[in-house]
Amino acid sequence: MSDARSAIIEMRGITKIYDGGSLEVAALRDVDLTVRGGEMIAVIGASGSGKSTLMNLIGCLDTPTRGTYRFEGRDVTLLDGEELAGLRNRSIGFVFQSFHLLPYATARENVEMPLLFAGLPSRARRERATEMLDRVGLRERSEHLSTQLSGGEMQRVAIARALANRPKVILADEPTGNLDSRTGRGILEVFVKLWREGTTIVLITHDMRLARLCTRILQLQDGRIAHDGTEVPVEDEIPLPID
Amino acid sequence: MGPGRQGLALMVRFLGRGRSRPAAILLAVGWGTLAMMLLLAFGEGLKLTMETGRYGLGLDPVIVWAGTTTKPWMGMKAGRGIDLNEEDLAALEREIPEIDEVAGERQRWAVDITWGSKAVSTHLTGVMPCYERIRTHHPQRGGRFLNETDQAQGRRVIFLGPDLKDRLFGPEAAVGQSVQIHGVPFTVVGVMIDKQQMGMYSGPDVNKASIPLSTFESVFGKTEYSLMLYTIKPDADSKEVEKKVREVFARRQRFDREDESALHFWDTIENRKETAKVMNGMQIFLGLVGGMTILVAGVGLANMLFVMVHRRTREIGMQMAIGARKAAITSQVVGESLILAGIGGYLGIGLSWLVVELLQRIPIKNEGLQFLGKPTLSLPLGIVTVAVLVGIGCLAGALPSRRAARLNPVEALRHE
Repeated sequence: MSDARSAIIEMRGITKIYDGGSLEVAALRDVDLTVRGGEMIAVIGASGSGKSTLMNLIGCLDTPTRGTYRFEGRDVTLLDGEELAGLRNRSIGFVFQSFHLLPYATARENVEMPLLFAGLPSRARRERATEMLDRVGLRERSEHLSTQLSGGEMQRVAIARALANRPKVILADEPTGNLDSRTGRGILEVFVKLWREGTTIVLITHDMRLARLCTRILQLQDGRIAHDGTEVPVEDEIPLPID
Repeated sequence: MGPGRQGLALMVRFLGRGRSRPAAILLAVGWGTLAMMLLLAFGEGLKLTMETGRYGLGLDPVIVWAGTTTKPWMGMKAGRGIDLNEEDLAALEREIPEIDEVAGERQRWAVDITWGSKAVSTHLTGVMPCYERIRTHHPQRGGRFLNETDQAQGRRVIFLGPDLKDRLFGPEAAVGQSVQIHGVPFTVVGVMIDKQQMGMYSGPDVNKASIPLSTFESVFGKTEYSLMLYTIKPDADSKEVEKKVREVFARRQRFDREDESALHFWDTIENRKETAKVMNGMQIFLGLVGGMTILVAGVGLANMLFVMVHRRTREIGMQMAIGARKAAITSQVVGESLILAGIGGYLGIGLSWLVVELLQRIPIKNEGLQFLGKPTLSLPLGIVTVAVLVGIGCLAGALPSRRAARLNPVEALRHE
């Protein structure tokens, strides 16, 4: 959780160019972005607009070609691989479209993984994982293998795993993309609840219902921020709600 | 908990939960271990047979027998025969402090020994009591070897090799019986414990008979020694002592000390060292052959781990995304490799123990196979095998784990 209104993420002039041999592709161009504590931001845009690249950079899974990125005031571009892994572990929670749960592990064991990488002892891991599963309403299912869970339940486990180390920010990449509308609604409610509890959330989404629930909406177009406001921009390029 | 231990903890927790299907690899590692252990065990068995055979010849004796001079010396022509006698023996004892024990021996071939109506022809030796120790002429229970009193009083007592005893007495007890040599009665005081013997020394001891040296002289006349033998003190160098022995003889018997044909030496200490080198070389060779078999299994293990890393690319990407360090990733792969190598190796070791135990229980009649000996497992062999398995496990895991740790998390998460 983060202090409301303090800047967690500060990106200035971020450019990401992918070298495809003879062809260079600029996925992001001179992006400036500040994310403050307590915000719930939706990143929308057409395919290839640079949403995933922005998400990977925010999540420290990738490094920018140019520009500066500060996470809680710390210049992320100066960190090595191991330091970035530590930052991801402690300060960022990931929720993926396809859940990325270990199929042979129980819900609790999945939630315990980031805690293990944080070096928490066994008992503390167990208690924290149970607490997080309780937060997403899955305490009763904690000993079930992830393959025995429904899609919605799997995504809740993924959210609990993202919350496990009490990160500064949750990054969710199309969290309802693989779910039916009813289940997706349940996941939206979980995110809204977390946001109300003070969690800073950045969502990549095509789901306009989810985007409308956010405090701020960023629209990416050709690697640039085309819109940054509290309302969904009414333009042709913006995809319609899925349902 | 460091990243390496985190990875190991994760690997141990999920071991056997659908992460890999290692039956074929366990079989391959097990088979490789079995092959290596059996080869080494056979090598060990052969080494043991050689050791036993060497012990059968004696406790590192140096055997000396006389030859003929090939160089003229102080007015004497070449071609002169050398005699070994009691005075020479006394001179060696007196002048060379590095010598521990020295003994003379007289031999006679094709001597008839009779017991009742039964007669056998054998090789008879006149020996000193110290032969019990330096030529390992240990008696079976109920008997004894020739002693100092026998020697001092020239007693008519005889000590038989076990095969000779069987030829003469069959299943009947020999100790206490009276046999005759050239019409002279001898009392059997002991029968030698059966033994294997490396080096023939005028034939195997199990087929010979021994009487006191003094008695031999009284029956057959006092002649020169057929040969002499000596043992040296633990810190002495056999080559140096040989040189001194040659010098003593050269001075006493008046021949050129450089004339190597005048005196012949059979240095079993040097033989032992050479044999040990050969046996060690053979053990290394057998170990390498077995090691190659395990190496093939190791390649299979590495291949399986590569496939596993490929199949788990998304999982590795996820682990990296949620904060796994490189060491946490590599330790999972290397740990799994070591565990598979360990389990396969354990199966192989268990199976080879079983095979060796079975082979130990099968009686072998064939002489060639007897010489080959029975496969024997030993602690060093176990240590070598475990070390090879750990090495194979680490090697097989190293490259796949390196590949896993080098994965780009973004690409790994997108992997199909």
